[in-house]
Amino acid sequence: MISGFLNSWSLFAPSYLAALFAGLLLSFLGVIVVARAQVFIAAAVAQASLLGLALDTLLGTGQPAAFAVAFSVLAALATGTRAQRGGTSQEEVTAWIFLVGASGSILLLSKHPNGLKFVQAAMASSIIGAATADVVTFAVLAAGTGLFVLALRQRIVLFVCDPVMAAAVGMRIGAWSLGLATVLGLSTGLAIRSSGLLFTFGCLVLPALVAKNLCREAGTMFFVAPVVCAGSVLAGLVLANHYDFPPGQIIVALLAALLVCGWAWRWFRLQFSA
Amino acid sequence: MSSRTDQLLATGSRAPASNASAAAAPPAAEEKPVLCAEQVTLAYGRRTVLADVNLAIRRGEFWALLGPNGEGKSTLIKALLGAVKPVRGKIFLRADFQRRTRLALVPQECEVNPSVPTTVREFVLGGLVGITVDGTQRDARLKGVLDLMAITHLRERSLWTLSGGQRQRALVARALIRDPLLLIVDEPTAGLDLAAAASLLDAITSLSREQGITIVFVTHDLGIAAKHATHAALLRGGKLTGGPLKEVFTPANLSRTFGVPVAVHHDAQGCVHVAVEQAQERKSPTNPQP
Repeated sequence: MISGFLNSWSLFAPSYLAALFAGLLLSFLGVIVVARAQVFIAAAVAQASLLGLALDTLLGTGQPAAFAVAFSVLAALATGTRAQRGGTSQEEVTAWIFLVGASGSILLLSKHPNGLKFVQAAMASSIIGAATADVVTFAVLAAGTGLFVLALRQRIVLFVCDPVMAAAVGMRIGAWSLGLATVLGLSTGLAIRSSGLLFTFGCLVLPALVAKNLCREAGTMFFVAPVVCAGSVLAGLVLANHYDFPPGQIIVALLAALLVCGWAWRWFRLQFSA
Repeated sequence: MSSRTDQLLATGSRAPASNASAAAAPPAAEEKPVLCAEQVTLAYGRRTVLADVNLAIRRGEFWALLGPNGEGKSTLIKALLGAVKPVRGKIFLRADFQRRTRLALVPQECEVNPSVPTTVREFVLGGLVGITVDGTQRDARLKGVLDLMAITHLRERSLWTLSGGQRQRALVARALIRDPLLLIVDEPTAGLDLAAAASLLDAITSLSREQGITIVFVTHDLGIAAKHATHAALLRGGKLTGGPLKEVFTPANLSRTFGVPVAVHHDAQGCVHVAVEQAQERKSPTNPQP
């Protein structure tokens, strides 16, 4: 199984590496998303990115990355706006973006030749076909995000968990919110364009959720989630290569299975500690 | 920048509330306020919560922010902390507080997302954000505040398995690990039983009296204010009336703030007693302020 995977390396190296680095990038950001209880926001941002891809296809501009990133950044910023008392809630905005993204991407391409096939392919995810430029982009973003997160872990934990206290100790929460929304939108948009919705959303939330169940402290999640994601991506690629399954789906299925293990581990730990 | 801020603070201290404050605390009155609000108006959207607030808080003072629910107590402290921006007016911290390393908050309740795993150790260490300390100092501070709050034995426990009183003590410990000179406390006894509330209040009061920490304490409990505070600010109808406790705690001010008749007595020792008067009965007096 392993040797078969290694033999396929020369043919699929860019795809494998792009999946690995995109997974690492998304898993770092996923910890922030999960800690802020924004899993639904991540789904809405991913759908908005898909709408951007659909619009690019409809207009035939040939700039899918730019459209995907622009739409996902806008969605991340819109969902990050603070709710007013008695006014529009964050959930309303998020739900609106999710539904418009999901329905709009189909409607835009419903009359387009191969349009629906394109949407189905983007939603189902295919991590095969990444170029060297994707590998470099995701490697740089993953390294930068990883270093940033690990260096400022304590600040990020305080910001995502308790923004009022973060403001009290001098953190500029508006600037932090804006920065994190932009990075989330940028990363999600690039990942959707390269690997599709399922892989992107799966790598964004599942490793962080697994880490949340395995860890006793929020700070540790920033180490565990990338390890879980990298392991699952590599194992998924090996299995997909051996059994000739679609790799994106295998990786997400593995992560989902690991989450069940995480729930079981947490349950046993609570029983034991009680 | 600092000198400009100091100048503005000096101007701010001439506000009416500040004059009262200066009269009551002669030793501290000569110092510039550690925190000063100047003609501050706070609003959510179009709804104004507080208008034209003036406040000057000096070192070592114990301020109680009082008022019925929904009058803007928590909004005011969020503004003092920088989490809510005034729509008009300015809030200044003294030059040596600008970096906020000696400022800390004890919120009304733990606002951490309850599905995020965290231990008491990690939670309390979160209070050190923005402060540069080496590992030895960090451990010493952690041990010190956990001992002070009597939760050392809970150090490795999940925050979410603690009782309400223990969690409130962890919140205070997270604030104290910053070694604060200004501690802002937002109704920390809400939801606690009497014993836990009294114990927590005694711990906070001793910080003010023994270590000279300036305290801003939000409460709607007149008894707590009468017993522990040196100054009070009453919030009602978007207005703030502030100053030394004995000047602000008048029957007229308290009745206007809380909408019920309130009797105020000053005993021979200078202690303030307050009691809410109802139609045909008078409740027991609250604990006196020594």
